[in-house]
Amino acid sequence: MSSKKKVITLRSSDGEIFEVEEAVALEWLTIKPLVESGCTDAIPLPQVTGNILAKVIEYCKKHIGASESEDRKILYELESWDADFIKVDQGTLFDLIRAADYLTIKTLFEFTCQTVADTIKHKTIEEVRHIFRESNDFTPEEEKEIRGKSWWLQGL
Amino acid sequence: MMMAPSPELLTSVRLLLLHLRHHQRQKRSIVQRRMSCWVDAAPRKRKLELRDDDCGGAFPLDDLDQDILEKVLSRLPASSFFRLGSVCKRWKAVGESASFRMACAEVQSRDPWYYMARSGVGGGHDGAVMFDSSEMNWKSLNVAEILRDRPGSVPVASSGGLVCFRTGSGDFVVLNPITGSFRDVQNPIPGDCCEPIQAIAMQSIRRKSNLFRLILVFGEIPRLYFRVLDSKTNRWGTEIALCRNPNNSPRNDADVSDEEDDSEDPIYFLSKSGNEVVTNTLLRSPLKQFSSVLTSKNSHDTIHFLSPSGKIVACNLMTRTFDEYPPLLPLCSEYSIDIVDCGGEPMVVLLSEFFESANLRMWKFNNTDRSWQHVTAMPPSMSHGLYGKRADVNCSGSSNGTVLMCISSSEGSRYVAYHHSRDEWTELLQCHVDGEVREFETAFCFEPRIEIEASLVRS
Repeated sequence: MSSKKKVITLRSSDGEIFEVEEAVALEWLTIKPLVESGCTDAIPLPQVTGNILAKVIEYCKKHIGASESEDRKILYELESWDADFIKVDQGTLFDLIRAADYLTIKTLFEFTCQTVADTIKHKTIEEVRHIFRESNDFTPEEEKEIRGKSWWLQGL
Repeated sequence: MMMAPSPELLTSVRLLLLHLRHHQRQKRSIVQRRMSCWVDAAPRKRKLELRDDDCGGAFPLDDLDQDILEKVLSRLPASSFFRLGSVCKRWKAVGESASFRMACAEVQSRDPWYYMARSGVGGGHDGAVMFDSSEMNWKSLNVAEILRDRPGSVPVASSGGLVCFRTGSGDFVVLNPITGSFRDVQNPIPGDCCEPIQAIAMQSIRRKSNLFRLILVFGEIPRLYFRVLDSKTNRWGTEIALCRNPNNSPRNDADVSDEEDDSEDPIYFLSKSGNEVVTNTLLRSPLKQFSSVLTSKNSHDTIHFLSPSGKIVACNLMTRTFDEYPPLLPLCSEYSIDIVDCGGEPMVVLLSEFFESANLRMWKFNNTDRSWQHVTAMPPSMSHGLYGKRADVNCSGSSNGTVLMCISSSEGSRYVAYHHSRDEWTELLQCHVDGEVREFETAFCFEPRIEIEASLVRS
């Protein structure tokens, strides 16, 4: 019996080749049916660059099996590993979200979305507009109406 | 020139189809645009270049990323979400979309808010106040209209995103304080029935966020009954009797019949509202008259409440039995007691005085050996000031393990937030409304959830 685990080959948008264990690739729901069908070609992922794919694989390798653990020590260790992992610039964070969304990796998608939410929750509206490149498209009247409805949110 | 499709192209096409299947809820136009990205890599490349050159780490979300925006916004604390709704029209529209509500429903738990209650004129709803535990501040909320139409309404129970009020006429209103969505529920116990209500509990049904149960426990020990409201039909189920759990009948009072079970030693339940409450021994704030804690363990739902004689009664709705727990302290000790949901477990909060100092401790009941286990104590520096104040403690807690304690005495109210997982006690600042200190006797914990409808959804 071969002890070697089955390996899946992936190709990023910039042509980099990655090999991941089958168990990891099966967590990516977008490519899961392909993996299950025994595809041996390199699976092209034209929306993910090599450096992002490397991060995604790193995350999934770390999390496989560990997320379901009930050992508090393992979970604590995983939490601090996550905190280090996500210390990336905003561009990378958003690329990770897009990659997780595209590959349908639930854990990574939720984690990265939560990280963005935590980053912006205390920011002012102007700061958030800047980050997301959104412009204020309300008329002054509309803005006044919204303010009127949410006055209570300011806290007493 | 015609060529047979390469195996790799076939793989790509299959991958594309698989991917699309995972995004069926996306709008058609979005799907089409995504397909165009696949078929022709050029638009995507242009976008990437634009982002790298112009935006420097910013995150412009185009229409393709609607689901990402929804996910991010659904994970914001409620107050941040409401505030950031005014970023732009698109963000505001997200907050009103059905798919956003679905994303919100997937969020397992939210930092609780507390509906603050005080007795007195109109139940104090004019400019109701909430405590937001994610921002650790007080917020004012206008629910007055709904409650003004139902005079004498006082909050009696809360669960999930909902707070239940009992109106002056004895009926109920279930309200989502965040959205103002509400429904009226009739009192199932006829006016000529003299069975007193012992406890009112509410339970939200997870995953089906609009469903909840309202449970009334009534009668007098040992003849207790309960009725359950089905939120789907807004109708009450039939009356179900609760029997005393034969395995756990009180050991020491074999000679005491149930009618005479009330202890002879006086127990003092201190309450600011003092003479407003007339009971034989238990003196409770009218706001806490029906308060109870409902917890679920191994699909057994149990309601814990304080009986008029000051004992803690546990009603198991599954086995239809009830149980009276042995007293925690010698009956002659002067104390104030409350039951609270702390991380899904019922716990007792007890303020007592010994040796010229005041202690505020939390206990839980161990059903196996039928004894009380000490959980934690308020730091002495915090509880010291309570000595001799005859303070009344009323609490509200949540399944995430945050408990808000209102400690009222003739000298005013103090508020302490306790985080069970960190064993952390935090004294809160006083609440000021229009420059004046506003005092509360108790709180009702709920999750700020915009997706929960209290009104009767007609299918």
